[in-house]
Amino acid sequence: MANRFELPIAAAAYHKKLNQSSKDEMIAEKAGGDMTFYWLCAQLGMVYNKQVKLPKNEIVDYFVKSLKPYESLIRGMLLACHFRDLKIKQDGIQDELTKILSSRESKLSSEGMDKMDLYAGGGFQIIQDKKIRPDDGWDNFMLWYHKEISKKTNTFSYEI
Amino acid sequence: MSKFSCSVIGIDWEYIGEIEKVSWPLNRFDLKKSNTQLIQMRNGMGKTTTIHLLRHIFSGTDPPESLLSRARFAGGKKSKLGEKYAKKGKLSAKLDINGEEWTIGINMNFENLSSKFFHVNPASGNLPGWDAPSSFKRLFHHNNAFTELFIVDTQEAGGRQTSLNKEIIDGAITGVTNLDSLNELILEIKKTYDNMIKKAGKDPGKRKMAMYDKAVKRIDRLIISAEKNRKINLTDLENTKNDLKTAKKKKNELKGKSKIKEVINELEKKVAGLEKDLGRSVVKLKNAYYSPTHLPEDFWKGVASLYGELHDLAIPQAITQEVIRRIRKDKLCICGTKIKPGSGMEKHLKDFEKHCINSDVQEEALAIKNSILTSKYDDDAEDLSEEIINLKKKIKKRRSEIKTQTLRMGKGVADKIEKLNELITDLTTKKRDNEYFEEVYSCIDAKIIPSYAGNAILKGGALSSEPTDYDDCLVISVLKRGKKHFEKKRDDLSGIVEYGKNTENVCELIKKTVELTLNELRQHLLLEINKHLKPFQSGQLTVRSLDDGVEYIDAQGHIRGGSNTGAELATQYSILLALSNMTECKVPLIIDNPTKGLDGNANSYFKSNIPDKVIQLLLIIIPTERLMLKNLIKKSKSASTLHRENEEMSGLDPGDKMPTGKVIISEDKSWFNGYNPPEK
Repeated sequence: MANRFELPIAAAAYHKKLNQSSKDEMIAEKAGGDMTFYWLCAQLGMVYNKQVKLPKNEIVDYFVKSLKPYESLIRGMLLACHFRDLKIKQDGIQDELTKILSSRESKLSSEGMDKMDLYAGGGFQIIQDKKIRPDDGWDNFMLWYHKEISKKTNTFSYEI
Repeated sequence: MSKFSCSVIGIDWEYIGEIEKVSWPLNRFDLKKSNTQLIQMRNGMGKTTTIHLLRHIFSGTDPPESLLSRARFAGGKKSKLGEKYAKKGKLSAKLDINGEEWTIGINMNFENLSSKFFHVNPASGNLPGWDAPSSFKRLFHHNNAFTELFIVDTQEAGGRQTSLNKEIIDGAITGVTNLDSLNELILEIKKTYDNMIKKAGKDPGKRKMAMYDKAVKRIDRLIISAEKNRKINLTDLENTKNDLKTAKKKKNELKGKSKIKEVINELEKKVAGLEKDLGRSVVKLKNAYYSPTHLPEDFWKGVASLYGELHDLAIPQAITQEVIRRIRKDKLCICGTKIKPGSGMEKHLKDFEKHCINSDVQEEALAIKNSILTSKYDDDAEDLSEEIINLKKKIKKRRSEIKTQTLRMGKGVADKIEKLNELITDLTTKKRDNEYFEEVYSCIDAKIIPSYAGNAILKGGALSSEPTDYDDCLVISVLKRGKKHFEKKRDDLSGIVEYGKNTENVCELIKKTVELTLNELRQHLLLEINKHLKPFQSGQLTVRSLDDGVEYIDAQGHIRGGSNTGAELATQYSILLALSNMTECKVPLIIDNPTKGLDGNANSYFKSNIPDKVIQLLLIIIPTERLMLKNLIKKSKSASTLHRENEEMSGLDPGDKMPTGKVIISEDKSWFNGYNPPEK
């Protein structure tokens, strides 16, 4: 059970290489960069509904400054994907909210963090499967990311 | 420090560089008559190697393999003797230390690149190992930085931006002022404490304590290693920055002063501007995707519609666990009905409570619902993506124009510029790596530390109690906390907690005293250095601060971390003179290639002033330096030349060939003044 978000070890190395291969201007945040990359991976995993468990290392237990304004939306995405994943119906929602949310700084329980880690693993797996090279820098990575996300034209269709 | 004086009264070479077996001097010199000695030899004979080995003789630190490999006897090619003796070599210095004659030397094994010190003590003769009178030890032992200050390899000066760094300055001050004895006191206090722990650890009931003690020592080693690596990394960072600066300068020089250069510079400025714009756009697109509202419209609408449904279903419920718990506790419903224990009403409330959520979770669930329902789909990601594509195209176009212009300078120049561009890219990456590691080593931000500290920080932020968990941790602050963590556990068990605390306090106090004294001495030294530096430099440069090594300020008010060879040497000599004025510590000044780097004024100031201000000036020179040192040579009563036995003053043998005989020493002044071997 995680008390911190956990980034796949390979993703941390990928992220480091990505930063090394980019001009300073493209690296907005020096501190907390691993967490933002973690979120980009998790978001990709959520859009493609892909969850993968990979060997990982702890990063932080809160949403870093750049993600802070969107943390409620991020938790909302996670919950929506979780309901979709488990096909939760009306009567199970209260229980799931208790399982995923908590009063900790991240407002996510250990189970909530585990779930997010699985999506981050899934997202990173997509990056690896598509052979997106970190040596090409953040500019090419973000162009690919945008293209990949935009490709997903079907709706998030889940009704409770 | 009480009075201390030291001079070099002899050097013995045995199979070093190209020298077989030579003892200097042939006739003992009298320092009172003339304190300047000159040893002349041609380039490549072993001059600089001698200087570097002398530093180790003074500091008692083992010479590194690179130096041993350089010292390897190379005369074997030229002399029969060489083949026999090339595997081993020896260099020793005879020293006059406060009137006592001591010899310290290094035996070198060139086969396995190892070395062993020996010394000749006036009381007990030849002994293995490094030893010297305590006044000498206090000043020089392990103080490599200080030896660099008075045993000067002029080729080192000016080579780096910060060659007179903090270590050299502080090492010199602590050396001559006895401040090191306070540091030794800290070690003594700690040693006593360790002995107490050892004693307590012999109690069989305190085996656990020994385990904690082992952990403290293990982490201490990790701290030393991390601090050492941090230092290496910082030096590497500094060097990379300098290399980067040099590569950029070279590239600029290659472009020449032609009109093409102006065009290229203009284009490069444009590329730099476009790259900045590109960076900004990439960050904007990244930032956009931090918010899920930038996901495809249909996708985001689907998520929003799910929360719309939850809203309609009034999920989460308005009644929280806390409300039900309070009713059950008070046994009173909000309508005023009393709840009897074991009644159906109580049972219903108990089941109902299980399905309710607590107020924190409810508050968050409502906040999520609210933020999603009020959020709007953002469509600017596509615009940003197009902006990036356009900027990349523009950069590509400009770069191709730069290439065309560069080719106009000729293929050779274009290739060199291309190679420099590759080097600049590599160095930029290296610089970023160094910066990353510095960030890790020096990290103190509690929120970021866990991502750098490996297993040393447990889930929840506590320190690990498993010593091996610290092995992969590079964060020095965490290692120090870890060490304290185990120290506390150990002291708690050993029953010497109070003593431990007092030891720490006393050591801290001494450390602070040393630091404060060092600061004051630095200030005093600064004034003294500038007094000496002024005539060397005609006031062009002033030393501004010694807090972080030597920092200069030039006549225009620009602050500089380092300077050219001449200025650095002048500063180095000024520091030595200042230290010698401030204390009663007299050390010899030994210089390899003394004329290197000092221009006309500085050189004449050096010749006319330095000899009077040091106890001994020993110059190891090459024949071409004689002209610039004419007056000094005239005054000196000891001028020796190392040359081959069948060599004539022309540097050739009687058959006008390169001489191959063994190296001998001559103290004939006409030989000294007339020796003119061909330059290599």
